[in-house]
Amino acid sequence: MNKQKTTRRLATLAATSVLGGSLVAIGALATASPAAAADAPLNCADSTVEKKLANGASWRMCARIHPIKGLILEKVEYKPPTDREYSGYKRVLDQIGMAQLNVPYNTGHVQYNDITSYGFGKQYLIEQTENTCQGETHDVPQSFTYRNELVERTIKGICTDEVSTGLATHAQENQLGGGVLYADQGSALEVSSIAKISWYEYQQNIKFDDHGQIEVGLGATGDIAPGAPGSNFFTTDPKTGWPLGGAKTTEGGDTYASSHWHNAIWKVDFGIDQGERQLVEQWDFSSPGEGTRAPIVHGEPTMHTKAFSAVPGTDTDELSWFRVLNPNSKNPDGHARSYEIVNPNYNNKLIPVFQPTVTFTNARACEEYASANLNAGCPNESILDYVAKDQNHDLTDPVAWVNVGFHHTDKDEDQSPMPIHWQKFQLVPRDFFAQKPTITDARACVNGATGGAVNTVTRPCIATNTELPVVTADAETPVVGTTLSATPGLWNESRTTWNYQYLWFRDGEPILVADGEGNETGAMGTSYTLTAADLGKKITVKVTASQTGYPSGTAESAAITVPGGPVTQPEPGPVASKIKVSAGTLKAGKKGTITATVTAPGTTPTGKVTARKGSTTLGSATLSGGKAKITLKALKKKGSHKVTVTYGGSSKVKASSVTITLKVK
Amino acid sequence: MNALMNAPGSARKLLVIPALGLAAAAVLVSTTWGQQSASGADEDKSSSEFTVLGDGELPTAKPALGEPRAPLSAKETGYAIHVASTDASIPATATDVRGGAGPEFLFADLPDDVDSTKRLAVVHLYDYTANVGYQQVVDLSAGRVTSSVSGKKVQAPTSADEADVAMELAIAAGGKLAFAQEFEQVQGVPLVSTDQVEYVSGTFVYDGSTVGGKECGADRCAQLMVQTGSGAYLGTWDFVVNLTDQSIVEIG
Repeated sequence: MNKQKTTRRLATLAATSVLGGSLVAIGALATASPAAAADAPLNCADSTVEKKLANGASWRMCARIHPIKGLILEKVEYKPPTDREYSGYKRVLDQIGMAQLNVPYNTGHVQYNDITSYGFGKQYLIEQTENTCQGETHDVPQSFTYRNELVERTIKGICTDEVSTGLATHAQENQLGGGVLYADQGSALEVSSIAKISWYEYQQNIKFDDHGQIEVGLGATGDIAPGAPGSNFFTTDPKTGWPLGGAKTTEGGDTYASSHWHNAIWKVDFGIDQGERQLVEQWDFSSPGEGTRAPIVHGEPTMHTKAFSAVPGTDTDELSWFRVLNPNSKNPDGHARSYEIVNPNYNNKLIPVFQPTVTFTNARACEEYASANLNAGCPNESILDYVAKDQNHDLTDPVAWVNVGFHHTDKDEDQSPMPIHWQKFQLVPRDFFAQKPTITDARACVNGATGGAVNTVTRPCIATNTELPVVTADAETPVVGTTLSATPGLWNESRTTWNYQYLWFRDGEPILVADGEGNETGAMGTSYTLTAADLGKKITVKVTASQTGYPSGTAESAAITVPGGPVTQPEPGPVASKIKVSAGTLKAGKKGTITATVTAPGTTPTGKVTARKGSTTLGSATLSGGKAKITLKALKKKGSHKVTVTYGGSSKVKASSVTITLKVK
Repeated sequence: MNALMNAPGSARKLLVIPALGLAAAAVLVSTTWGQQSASGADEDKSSSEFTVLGDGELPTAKPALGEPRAPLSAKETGYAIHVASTDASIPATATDVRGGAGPEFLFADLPDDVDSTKRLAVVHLYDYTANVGYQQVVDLSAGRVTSSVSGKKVQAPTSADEADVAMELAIAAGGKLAFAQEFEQVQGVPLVSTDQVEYVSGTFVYDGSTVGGKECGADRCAQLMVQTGSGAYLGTWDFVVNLTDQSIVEIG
């Protein structure tokens, strides 16, 4: 456990991008692949964050601190550990950032817009230290005018780290143990920053996990709202707060720390595979009645064509969910790639702009904030205005305004400082991949209806041998000329039918034989005839089982030992030879050349090769490595000439000849 | 607290920005700033202070430009402010929060177009004379404003200068405001200087939830959160400061 953590930690240190320019180092660490080289640059220089996680998946993006919105991440792209799904990076989001944080107190005396009235950047950004950031810190340049002078600072304002996400997968094939256990720990790239708005301090925290999921969090810490007994934040009304002890009112009564909402809206500008056209789909579920043993539940999709807000109870219920899909980007299964918004939070029903769980509008430059918009193109407007104005356009470039509500009822333990409390939502890949992007080879064939449970023993993805291949001889004592035959052994064929290939080995080395054209090739097939070279050697066969779409498997037979050897056995008789001649077109009256190649089983022929026309010797040469280049005398007549090329043989190889037709022009 | 400091023996000016988050301001004042005042220590010990860039003047020449989606450098920001503020779209009569010539600078960043291949900046300004907010898109490469949009309800968060003015006006209102009375009760002395408190200022835009302050939004208003040196917050929820007409507005 500790070792694993240490290993990952080292990987983090080595591979994390540093805004100061270690991008090169990251590139050097990344697995080289042609696809990676083709990834377009993000054009954000040192603010590029790129991270290869422990399981090999990678994320990259541009990260900066906006003076008002705080942490802004752009061009968010994911690369799986392998090219199985796609090569290189693929865009998920064009941009994500906070669009409002509204804090109304239950006493009704005040509400704050911490984004549009204060902002999470500028002087509100808190510097990262070793206490706040366990990973890498990144420089954030900030500047503005103060008292007619341009002022600046650069602080470590962004933290990136690889953090554990706990158990990612656990699949044990057999109920009572045994079988194969697939279990692995997950990790995520965490990008975060901290801003302090008076007594509240916030961490913007976005985690990009190794399976493509994104978790977007806002953590609130610092201190609960301050005040004296009887003040606005510590009233005497128990209905609007919680007693925290300490000083009482002058009348001796308790005071109650005011409860409040954190109405946080994130702006998520989708960029699924950089699609020009993206669609928003809502799914709802209802029951038409009872089935035989359980209620039937029907799911129904609705493709939204116009901008809209989704208010719980009116437009959605507890099972409703939304996704943004790119109809022109299909995964290997042919399904449109999409990301689903998972937002199980409750929203403030009392303020109209914070009622919708999510609002979708087309991306428009002037619509930057969810409420109290600061863009001069449509100032002080809200998402409700955006929706109303957008009804004459098709919804094809969707921005999701994800509302994450949190109602904070103070408690004694909130003092002091206040422990961080979170409000989060997730962006979950839905058909962005045909399978889990980190799927192991052993499960790679599991896609759709499998016809039964998947099991390494009875239904494996990888070709798996359960009984070794067997080699038998057609003679009790194998000698030269004996034929060996192989069977593939037993392989599990429950999932598919395997194709088998056989390759013969002599003392662990592939046996090479001459093919029909005299070229050396591996001894393949279900049978093999022993040659002199096999004497005294151990012969085995390796069987490879394969099928398209399935990882192959290989198994080797037990060895057959061929008795005898070159020293103890009588010299074998000469073996047959074969000649192959290659020649170009010759010119009449000029010398020409031909090349003769002589082959023989188990040995390389030596000796002389002669070319003759009738009784006339045209030329001869000595074999070297089985080849000889023969210079021919000039042939005066144009046309075809029958020429016989003869190998004279040696003590080990019999003579042979071949007649060829030479063309003379 | 609002003072601009000259670091002894250093060409760089160290600043304590008044509108810092309260705790951050406290840190700067009580530790960093205090230590430096006492020792004249070098400012590189901490990078969290704001310092004056060069001579403090806005760059009028195009600086080295970054990649299209890289954060703006200080020089790029300064140049963008210069181009945006001196563009013909800004009236010659424009004034800042203290009545000085030229608009108030609020903030600058990149436009939202993530696929832009140009080096652009969006500069937000406010003209107190006309009570109008400006949003200037500056093409840093060309050194000119390519888009100018203005409006009367454009109320970006207050600048550090605006926070100073809001605090000064609130103190000038004297004992009329409850927070000042509260200060005197807990501190034993009247509140007469911004140096006696730490404060944060946010913009206030009327949203129907308060009795008063209906002019805020059309006018530029600031809401203060004020802390004593001991860390106690003062009740400032019953008023806002109208920066446009430099008045106190009771919002109830």
